[in-house]
Amino acid sequence: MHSYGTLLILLIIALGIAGLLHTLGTVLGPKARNPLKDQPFECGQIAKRPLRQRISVKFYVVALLFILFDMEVVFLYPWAVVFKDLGWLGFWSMITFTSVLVLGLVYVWKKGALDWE
Amino acid sequence: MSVNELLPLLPAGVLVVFGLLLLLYEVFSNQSEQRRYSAHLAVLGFAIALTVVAFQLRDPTASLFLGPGGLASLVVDAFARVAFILLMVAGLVACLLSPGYAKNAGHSLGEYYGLLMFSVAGMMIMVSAADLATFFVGLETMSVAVYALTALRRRDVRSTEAALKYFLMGAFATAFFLFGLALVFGTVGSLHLTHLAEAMSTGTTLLREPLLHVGLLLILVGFAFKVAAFPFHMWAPDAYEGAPTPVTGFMAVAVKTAAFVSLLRLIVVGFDGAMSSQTGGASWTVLLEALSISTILVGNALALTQRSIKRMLAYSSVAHSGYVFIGLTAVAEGEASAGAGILFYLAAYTAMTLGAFGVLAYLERREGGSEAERFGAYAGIGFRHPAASALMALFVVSLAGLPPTGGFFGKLFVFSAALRAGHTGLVLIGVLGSVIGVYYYLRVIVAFYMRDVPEPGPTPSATPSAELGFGLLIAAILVVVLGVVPGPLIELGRAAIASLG
Repeated sequence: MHSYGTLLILLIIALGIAGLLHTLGTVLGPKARNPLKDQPFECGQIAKRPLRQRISVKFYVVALLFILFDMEVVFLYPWAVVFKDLGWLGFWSMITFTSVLVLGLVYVWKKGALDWE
Repeated sequence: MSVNELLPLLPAGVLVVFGLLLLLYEVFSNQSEQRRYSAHLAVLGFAIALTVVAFQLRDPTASLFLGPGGLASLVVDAFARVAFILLMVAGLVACLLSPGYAKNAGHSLGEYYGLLMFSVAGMMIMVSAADLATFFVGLETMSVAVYALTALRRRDVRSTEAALKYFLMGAFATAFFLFGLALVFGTVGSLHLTHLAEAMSTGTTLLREPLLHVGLLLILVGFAFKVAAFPFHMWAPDAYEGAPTPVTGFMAVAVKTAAFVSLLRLIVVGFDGAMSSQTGGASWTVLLEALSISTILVGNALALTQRSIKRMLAYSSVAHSGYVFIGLTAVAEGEASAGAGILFYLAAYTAMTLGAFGVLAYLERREGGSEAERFGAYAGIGFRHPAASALMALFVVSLAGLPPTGGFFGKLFVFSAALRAGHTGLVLIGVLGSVIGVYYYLRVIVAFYMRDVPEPGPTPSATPSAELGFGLLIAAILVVVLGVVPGPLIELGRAAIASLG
């Protein structure tokens, strides 16, 4: 447990410096408040319309399908790296895996999940 | 490794292939008229897979996917094969119960049967996993498919609510389980059950490591969620009530069987059978005891007060989890015969619970929502649907644990094994729970046969269906056969437990 002690000291020093600087700035710094300054400000122009827009649910289906197929393609890379060591069993395993994916794609396509309208 | 070595997994492979076929069948036959053979295709798949398991039943233990140190990730032994049979029979009967219900409720989806088969394939990975990471893959395959099955009636508010609750609670359970896995891996350095057993039996310094115990506790919480044990049972009644009735039956039996069977393997193999006090196991037996006592008492007490038959069956299934935990407590103390008792109990429970939900699916009405499931709504049904009501009477008698049914012998085997392990108090609680159970199970019979029919009587719009009749018949035959000749199955269960080593 003692090895974490150094981290704790680091944390205390970091918090101390940050707190000290913030306090000093608040106490010593000049203050000239006006309403305009008190407005929340991030950057750019003031928003002209509500920022929380509703997004079509169609994106959800497409995003979901993208993640599904994307994640499964990730498996192809490690397979390709050790392709020679795995031999024919590895080859046919991957063919099986990919065929299942293709069947999934056929299902999704025929089901109409890829139609935008 | 050659393809021949994968043969022990052929049953799961058959299920996956048929699941994929069903998905394609669904999209390539857009007319609902052509889609009516989905259920038959699914039943065919289950029948083929069951035949394969029956032929492989006497095969030697197969170890697949060897990892570092030559330890297998999947072990298909007699234990796993018996569990395969239980799970696939549950899937088969659920498929038979579905078409009539789907027609009545106005939905027919080919995905339904596909998802059912995928979830059973996931359960088969769970029960044969010798490695907790592999187990987790099976657990998720099962869970995701069952979440989707629960949400099947998309236009029904109760179904979507049930699915959301089940999904959220299931996600919690998954998180608990994974965190437990991480802690166990951090202390033991492996997730393989053999390594866990070594750590539990020899590594006395490891046993003083609190993180290991916290990890195992979290894993146990994950299991308790899946089998709806108190205090993790809150989701069960709502999820069971909202899901389509055949799915409810499937959830109540198959998901629980898979979780209990794999917990049995974890306790027998991972804890090396004996959690004696010098290995720090005493606290574990106490935990299992506490789980079983509270689950029996709370499940039965809440089932007593339900007005809806479906919710009553949901709470009673919570109580049944408690009875199985009695057996697990005995197993944890090295009483191997309790393991065979648990397998028998799960088989009887599968038949009688699926049967009871099947009769409900037959009698359920499309309109009326939860009101239609009140006990009162079933007044006089015994005379209007004599066959279905007689079967329902058989199933509730079995659920109550009265002879000559499978439910009686299930309780007998589990309780007597617990007595041999010296858990007299626990058995007393179990018997007390069963006595409470008799009251609310008999309420069903009273509602069916002994209540005056209000005039004009409610008209239940039951849809007769050959498949449903066949499914109920299988369940009823199983209940009676297990109650009259329990010998062969309990022998099979003993052989299964012996194969765990």
